[in-house]
Amino acid sequence: MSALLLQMMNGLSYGMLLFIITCGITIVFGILGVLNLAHGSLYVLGSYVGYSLIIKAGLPFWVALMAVPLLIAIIGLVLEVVILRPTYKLGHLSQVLLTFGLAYIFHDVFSMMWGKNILVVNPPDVLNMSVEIAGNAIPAYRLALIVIGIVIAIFLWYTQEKTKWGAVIRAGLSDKEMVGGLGVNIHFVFTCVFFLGSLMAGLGGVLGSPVLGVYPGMEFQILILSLVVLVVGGLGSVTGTFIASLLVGFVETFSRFFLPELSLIITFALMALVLVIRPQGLTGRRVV
Amino acid sequence: MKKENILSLKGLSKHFGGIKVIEDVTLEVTAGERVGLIGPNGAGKSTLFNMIAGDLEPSGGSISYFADMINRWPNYKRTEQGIVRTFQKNNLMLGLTVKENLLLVLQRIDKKHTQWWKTANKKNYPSLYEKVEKLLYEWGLQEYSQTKVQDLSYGVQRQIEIIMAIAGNPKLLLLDEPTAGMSQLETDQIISLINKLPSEVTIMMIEHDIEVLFGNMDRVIVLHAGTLIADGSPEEVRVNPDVKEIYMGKEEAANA
Amino acid sequence: MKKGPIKGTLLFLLMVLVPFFLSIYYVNILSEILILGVFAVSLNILVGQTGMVSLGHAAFFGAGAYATGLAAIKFSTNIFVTLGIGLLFAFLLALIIGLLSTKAHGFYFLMLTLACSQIFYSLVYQWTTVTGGSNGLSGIAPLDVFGDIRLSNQVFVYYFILVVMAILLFLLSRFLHSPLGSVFIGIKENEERMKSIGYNTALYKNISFLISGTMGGLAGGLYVIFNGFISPTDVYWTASGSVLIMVLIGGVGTLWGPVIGAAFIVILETIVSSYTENWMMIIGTAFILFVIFAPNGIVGIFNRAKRIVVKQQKIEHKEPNIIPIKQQTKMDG
Repeated sequence: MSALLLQMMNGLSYGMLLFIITCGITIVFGILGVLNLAHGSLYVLGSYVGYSLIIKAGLPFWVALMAVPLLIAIIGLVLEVVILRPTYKLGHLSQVLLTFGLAYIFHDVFSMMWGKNILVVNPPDVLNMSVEIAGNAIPAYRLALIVIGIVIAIFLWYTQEKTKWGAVIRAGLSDKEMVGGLGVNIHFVFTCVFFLGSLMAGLGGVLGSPVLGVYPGMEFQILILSLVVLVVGGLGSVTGTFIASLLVGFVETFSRFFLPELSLIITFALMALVLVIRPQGLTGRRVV
Repeated sequence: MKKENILSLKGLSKHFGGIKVIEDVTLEVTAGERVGLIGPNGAGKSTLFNMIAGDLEPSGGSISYFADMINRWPNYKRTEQGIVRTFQKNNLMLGLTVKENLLLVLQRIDKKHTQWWKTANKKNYPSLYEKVEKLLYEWGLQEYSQTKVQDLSYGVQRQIEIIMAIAGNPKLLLLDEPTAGMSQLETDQIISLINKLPSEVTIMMIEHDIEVLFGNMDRVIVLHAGTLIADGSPEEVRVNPDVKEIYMGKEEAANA
Repeated sequence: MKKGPIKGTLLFLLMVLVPFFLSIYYVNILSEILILGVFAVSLNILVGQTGMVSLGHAAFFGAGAYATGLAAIKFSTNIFVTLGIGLLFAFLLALIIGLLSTKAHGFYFLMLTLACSQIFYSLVYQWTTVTGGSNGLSGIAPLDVFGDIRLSNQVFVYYFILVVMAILLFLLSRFLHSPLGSVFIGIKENEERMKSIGYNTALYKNISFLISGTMGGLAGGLYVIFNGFISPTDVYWTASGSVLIMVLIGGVGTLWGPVIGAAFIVILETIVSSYTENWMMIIGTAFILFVIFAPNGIVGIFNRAKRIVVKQQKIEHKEPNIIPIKQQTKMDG
């Protein structure tokens, strides 16, 4: 029972982390229609820069948590303006491939700058302890992840449902031409969305490094997990991403606990199952 | 001698969510008939075609083709058996040439489409290529045979849309607004070519131009809000009070 | 029309002569190009011909490689038997994955193939007793061709691969422009219309998937014969990404494009990796440049260059004829 509770908390916090990582790729895909295959790289960049700031420069965790996402967002913005924007006319497939090329470049940049070892960041001192819940010691950092995940989910939900920006985004999800019709500069929206998506990747990078560490090739693992979440949740839907993140988080955690030798397969089997049964994802509308 | 029915619809319905697009349409078409289909926008004409062609599944009712109940036939099987349609919006292989588009239709008719060991050219498939050239000649489109469809004007694309269907050996030809967006001259050309089709080909045609329908069809069917409100010879339909009210009435009002 | 086969034969003869002039180092590079060429050509049937972009093609490479390797270790030393087993296995895998994924379109198809190939990767990675797990499968001895002709050195292996590639390209050159080939192109162009003119597109997509997957397995089988070793990294999804890059850089939907793309990547990798470890960066940059500036790949660049040269020669005669037609069609629309 206690082991089960522990796994529940692990699954929940892992799911929240997945949500933080994946909502960026979801928003970008939903609005730009571009599947950003460099999203995992932006996440890993966040982890590495966070590592440098915290371990090398000795700055507090909280500073990194503020500074890094902003930095990653600015890098994302530059990438969008310089590389993606001139290619919107080429079609979505070209852009997907473009971001794949970017992921390749990032891969080598990482190994040049941070080497090939697994790097780990300690959680901030305040959270570097355990909290007792029903007789179990739960790491406080994982509880913090759950709280942060919920806060971000609420923030995104609020923005999407209750603000003018959210209206633009929702319009963009269902009908891209309409956004133009609303008198909003579509390029500006794209840039902002990419900025936000990169911000979330950077945030995930800093928050994830104490739990997952950071190592070469990690961006491809993160990316593929994000894609699984994206597909399971239904493309471009924030609510769907939230549900799918938790689902994948639980499935991964529990399968690793109960069936460690099959854990890799089960997650993908879940995605294949969802795609075959509900091709539009768990919450997505059917796209004809 | 009574001709056999090529198509019979019994109580055919289509609902999207709560909206009844087609409601309880019953209709018989005999082989060789030329049937026009009119009705205001949103009357469900294209939806009806989509169900006959197998692009949409009916919510209720049955579709019979000759003696077979074909509700469960996929669209490609219906085409194989002779139910061939055109689309309201041009729906072609834009990146291929006119000739390649037509070859795709003809090679299936000639049962050459599963051959993979010979390059498709005039030397290897003489009869196939002669048929394409004959077709292009009949429609006066030889000059475009090597042009990609995407580089052609709308009017020419529209003609190819129709040729694609005619080349498919139809027994029942469904023409969805074949002359939409075309000039008077082009419309006349297309109608005269359609009239030249062999008399055993059954034609159902959706058309907004009432004069075109009344002048060339044996029978006119009027759909309104998903139900069949009139069915008869052009003269009968012309004087039908219901039709006048919902369809002609508007026009007369507009003219007045 | 007749230039193609002549050029092909000449190239083949040239390739036959290569081992007499170049060292074994270069012969090995050529073998690798040919193997990856087969792999890229196989993916091109799916991506270029049928318009289905797959990100899971490495599964078939892996299936062919592992099955061939295991057969070589456990059952037989005959190359046709072992390769046959590899092909059969890839065929069966393609049958399963194809039935699951060809119903989906576009991005969903890409994701389904990715998911299926990752499941296969996980199986290979975890089933240590059979596949050797992360250590890979090694100890594959040279195989027999006929009687006592054995592929005992890398030059023989090269010749074997060369012959396979030549046969494959010959068959494909006929297939690409055959009636069946045009059905696939029609599906790429407009699947809905293909259904409406009477084609059971689901069936043809599955056939395309089967051909593509089985050929991908052939590439894997050749690779394991050449290399004597296969590991899970060759089945990981980044391998699927690499082969997609080869196809796109070479030229989608063309006969030679994928082979040229494979050659480009292998040569670039060989040159670059002698200077720096960071060849992924170079490949990534090259890839981005291609996507932006040459979306039709290397073959596209060739064709454009050829057209410019031809146009300059014929400019006085041809140009006036072309322009009015174009104007006319535009005016109508």
